[in-house]
Amino acid sequence: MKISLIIATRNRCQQLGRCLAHVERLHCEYDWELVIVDNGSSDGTAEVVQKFAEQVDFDVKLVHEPRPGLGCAHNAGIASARGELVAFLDADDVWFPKKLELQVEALQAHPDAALCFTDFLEFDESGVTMPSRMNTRVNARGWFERLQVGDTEIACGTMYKELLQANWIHTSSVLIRKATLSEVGLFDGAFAMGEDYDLWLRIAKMYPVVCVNRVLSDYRYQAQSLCGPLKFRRLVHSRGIAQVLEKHLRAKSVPSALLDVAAEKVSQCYSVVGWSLFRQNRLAEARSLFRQGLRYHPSDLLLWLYLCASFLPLTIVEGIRRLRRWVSALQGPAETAPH
Amino acid sequence: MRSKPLVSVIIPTYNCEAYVGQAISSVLAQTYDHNEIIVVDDGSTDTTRTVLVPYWDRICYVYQENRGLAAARNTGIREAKGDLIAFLDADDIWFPTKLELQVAAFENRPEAGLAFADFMDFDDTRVTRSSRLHTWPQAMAWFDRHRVGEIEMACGPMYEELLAANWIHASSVMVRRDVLSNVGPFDETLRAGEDLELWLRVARRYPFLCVNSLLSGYRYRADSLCGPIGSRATRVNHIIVNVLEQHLRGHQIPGEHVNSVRRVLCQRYWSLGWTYFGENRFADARRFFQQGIRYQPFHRQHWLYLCASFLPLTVIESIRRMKRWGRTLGGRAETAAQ
Repeated sequence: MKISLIIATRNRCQQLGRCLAHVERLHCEYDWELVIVDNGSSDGTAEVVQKFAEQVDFDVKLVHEPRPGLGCAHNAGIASARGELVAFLDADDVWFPKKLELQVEALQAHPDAALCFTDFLEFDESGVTMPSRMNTRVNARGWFERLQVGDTEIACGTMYKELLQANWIHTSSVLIRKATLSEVGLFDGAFAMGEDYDLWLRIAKMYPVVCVNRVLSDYRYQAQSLCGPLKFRRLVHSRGIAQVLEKHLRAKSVPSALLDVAAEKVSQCYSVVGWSLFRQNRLAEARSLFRQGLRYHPSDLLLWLYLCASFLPLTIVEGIRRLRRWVSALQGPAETAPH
Repeated sequence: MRSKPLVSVIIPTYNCEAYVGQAISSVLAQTYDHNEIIVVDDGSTDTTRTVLVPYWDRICYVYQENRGLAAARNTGIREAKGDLIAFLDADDIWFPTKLELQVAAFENRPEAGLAFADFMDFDDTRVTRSSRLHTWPQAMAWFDRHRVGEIEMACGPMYEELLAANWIHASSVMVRRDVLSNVGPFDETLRAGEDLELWLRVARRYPFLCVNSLLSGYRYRADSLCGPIGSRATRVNHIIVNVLEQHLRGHQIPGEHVNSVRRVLCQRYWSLGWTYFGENRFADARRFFQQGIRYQPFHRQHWLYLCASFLPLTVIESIRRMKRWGRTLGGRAETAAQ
């Protein structure tokens, strides 16, 4: 069983150096190769890779992909990968020991599953911000408990509906059969964000997935990265999720029984983004998002309320805000009085 | 000839990025190399993960949400594949022959359940106490009683000695895995003293092995959780009292030990009551004196202080002043005599 590990990078030779030092230390009993996709770097990325390739005893390939975007870069990596199983790693993230072994075992035990993912932790400059994604989300935990194999840390089954509601598959945590990719297709290069979510949805629609419920990789949020600080991160993600789901709804690939679930999620994403724009007094932009949300979920009364509010003049909106602050200030001292 | 047994080394760590590398290096430097290292990261929020990357090919790393030392060690025990399990806290260190000597000791005495050894105290700058086992006269008496032949090793029951004082450093312990599956893992509800609680459960059924060499180091940290000595002693007393009460209620204590357990309980309640009495927390102190009397009804000091705890604070204060005054008088008389 050969495994191809794909690392896509662009002008980050320092992080790449650190990442490769950690890959070198990963002990793996399977035959494996490393495919590094240079996504248009102008720094010393190629030299770093070359030096590394001379040191280690496994195959290291360097591929160039001039079209920007993680989706395109990963596709180029997949195209030149020779393994039966494909894994991805971001230069910022770290794999923990035994990750590949546990995942290969899980896929071997469940030959019908097309994709194996694991739990992960999230961190930023301040330290670990979330110690486990699987076990802190109620629906993720519920899915796992429903499909858990005995009392092991493995669950296997279909996950399409849950995935429509939230994405808890981290790209650096997956191991995919390459045969599956040639069947469902590669990443959609048109997405700037959420191209991974789009692929997971296509896979999960046709195949069961298997999960190893153990933290086996970490996920770094960077202040200067695409995602930015926590508040914006959520907005960018919401927008990405909405766009992916809209594509799937347009292509009529969502089964009719789950249309409501998908539509509700889209409308929820739009209302989250719209509400944040509303608070920044960007009423016109917010209005168009509320409208889009209502298109998918016309019975959402709260969205109608927001939509109406976005037509009010700014002075009245400010007045209502002042009124609410005043009311909550009145309630505040009364609540703290007993202390 | 039997093959060498595999030793699983369990290193629980929590936000210990400064020291965990030293701990792992001290395992890699062991003369006995048939071991596996299991690092259980108990929800560290620091850079422990990246500090460990240089050891990635030598360790098994498990990250879990923060659940406490006992839970972290239990996770390690579940992961362990070896017949022998050794614990090493992330801020402690081992000396190179630690595993070799203890594995040899187990081969010599396969009936033993748990092996421990002498240890030293150190901090960031120096060794503060070089041999802790020798600071406990009871420990040395036990050692001499159960000494095996001419070598620096002892093997024998230790339940009663453990009740009086815990001189087993968790990072010096090696225990058989089948022993742990018989007596059960660490009690995850305890936030401190979980090690003593397990040692007591092992000691009820198995003899202990002691290798009288300095094999591990216990690091005193400025930022340590232990706090000042006084409050630590009180906390230890609370733990021991809880553990023994629990064992006594569950009828888990062998008949020949029940009396000594009652005696130890009475003593521990006495020092707890006395501490609280000194802090003028009379209601708490009274509760402990009453408990002590339950276990030893004819204990005079318990009765005396129980009565005293009903007196008004002013009276107690004046008695204290009188005692102090008496002591200074005595002191003066002594200096005058010289």
